[in-house]
Amino acid sequence: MESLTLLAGGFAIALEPTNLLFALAGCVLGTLVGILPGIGPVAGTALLLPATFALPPTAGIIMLSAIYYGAMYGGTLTSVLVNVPGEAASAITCLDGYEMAKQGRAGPALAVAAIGSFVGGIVATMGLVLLAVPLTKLALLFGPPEFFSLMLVGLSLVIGLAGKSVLLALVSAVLGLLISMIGIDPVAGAPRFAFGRLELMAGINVVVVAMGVFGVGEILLNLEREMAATPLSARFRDLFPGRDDVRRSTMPIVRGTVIGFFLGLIPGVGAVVPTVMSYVAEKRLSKTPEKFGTGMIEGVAGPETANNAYANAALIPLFTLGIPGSPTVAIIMGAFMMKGLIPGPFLFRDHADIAWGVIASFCIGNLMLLILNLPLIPLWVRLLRIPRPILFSLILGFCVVGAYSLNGQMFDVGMMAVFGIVGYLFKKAEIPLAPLLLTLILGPLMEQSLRQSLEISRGDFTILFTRPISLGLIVTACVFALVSTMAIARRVRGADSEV
Amino acid sequence: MRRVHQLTGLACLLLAGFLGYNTLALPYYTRLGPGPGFFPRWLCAILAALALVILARASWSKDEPLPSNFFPERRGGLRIAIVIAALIAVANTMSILGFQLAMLAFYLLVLAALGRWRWIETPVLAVLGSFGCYYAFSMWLNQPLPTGRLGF
Repeated sequence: MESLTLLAGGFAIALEPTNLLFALAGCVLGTLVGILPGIGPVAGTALLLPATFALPPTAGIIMLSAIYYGAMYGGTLTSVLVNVPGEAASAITCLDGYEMAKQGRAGPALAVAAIGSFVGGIVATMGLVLLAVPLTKLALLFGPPEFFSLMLVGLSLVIGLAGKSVLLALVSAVLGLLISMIGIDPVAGAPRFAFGRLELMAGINVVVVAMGVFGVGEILLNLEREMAATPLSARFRDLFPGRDDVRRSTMPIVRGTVIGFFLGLIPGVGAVVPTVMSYVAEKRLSKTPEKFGTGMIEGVAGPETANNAYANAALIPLFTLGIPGSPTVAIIMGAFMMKGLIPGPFLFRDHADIAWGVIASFCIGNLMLLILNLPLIPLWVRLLRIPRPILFSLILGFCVVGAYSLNGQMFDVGMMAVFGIVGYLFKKAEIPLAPLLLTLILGPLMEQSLRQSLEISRGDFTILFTRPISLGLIVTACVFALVSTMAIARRVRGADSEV
Repeated sequence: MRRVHQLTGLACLLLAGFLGYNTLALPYYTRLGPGPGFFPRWLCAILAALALVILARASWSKDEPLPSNFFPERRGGLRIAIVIAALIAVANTMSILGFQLAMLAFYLLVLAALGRWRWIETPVLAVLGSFGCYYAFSMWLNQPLPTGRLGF
């Protein structure tokens, strides 16, 4: 009941005209970025982050969250219309979505994806509403040792974000931590790794790194090959699904919601897993599994619902515990911190209006996406035809303005270019980028809580193991790390045996 | 991929050594607990250890072939080099040329490098991206962008 009262207050904030306008802008911009092949939600959110700088905290976070789930939906459009997933999680939608488009059923495919995304998003947001108060009450019992252990849980996710190699993920994580050490030490005030440069004394901004490694790095990778025009063979006979489509999509949407929601609660799972699990579940439960891949609407409804339920549920660990479960959520966490807000239990205590306003905006944003996207489909189709050189040039120009406007110094533009090269080289060397971003954000919080803990215990490390919550979190971190390592080992072994 | 991983390991080892050397001047431990050098020094040690493991594994394990698209096409490599050079040039010349002129040159160069040169379309886009963006940010968003010595 308490949660619902707080949510009602949140709606009052989210429904303010300016906040509605920024949610709308975020949905449109997010979808726009999401449909650009090669620029997924992570790069898209990082690139559009500067657009929120000039806004007040609530409006800025509302807009960024709308960009996030707008980008998730944008990826679906390209999967269905041009068989090119805008992001990895939409890849599975290509299988049946594109086949439907070729049969002239792109409209129903996109409509069902939008409806499923809406249902998944709303249910996950309700989950956040229900879990927010109890989880934050628990987290308010935390002192510095518990926070350090919680950060360890966050760091253990690094392994879950590893691609093929845990070793390379650890390298990426350590590099992220080292970058986070640049600047004035928060406790003693000593400069670290600043090399006498004044610009480095304040540290390297998370946004500069994110825009560089994800945004510029991604564009550099795209520039390697000739930029052919996007082929569009989708045909539109009808925009809305028929009664049979709705009947066949209902249960996949329900199942997709459940799968996406529960996997979203586990940080580090990644958006691909729920979509694949949902697709596999639908195929297994279908009476005609052999028809999957030929334009089955169940193959679009389930994964797309799971994708958006996951995206919204992934925000629950961020809001309640301050753990970013995915790279995109880490960027949103960075945006919170730039506004002087630390996501987690204290956000609900100290800035309840912002927290509940943003949560309420999730419902509104999801509804906006549903209402907006169907009539806007012809516009998105036209945008897909904009030549890539123009798009990439404009994005790069936007990056320059964004990096500069962070601190009003061109040094940040140079750093963004450097991190763009780093991102490009990391991708070539198969070093995952997500751990770097995650530790870059968690590093300073982790160092601060450990040093505070050791000040309390006068240098005694056992303080981390003698407090029950802290010990429990350390055990959880170890279990996460172990399970993720075993899963990767199994995956790699499986891939080897297939070869 | 062996050579790629060896180079990765070597680069990490050199970086760990360089950064580790720079942490020596920082106090490792203070009366109140870990000092400013505590975390960085441990991180450099961990990075060095990881680098050695990467080097060892790359040198002794079975070599995997490079992915077919590992190296960019010749023209692709050129495009990448021009974009990086353009970004670095913008960062270094904006204080002299100002946002408008620096970005005008940036757009013209990048659009040409990416193979999109049309005599009317390209300059129009470049002017919109530079002069247009400057006025949009200054007038509407109240976000001042740098003006150079030439007044642009």
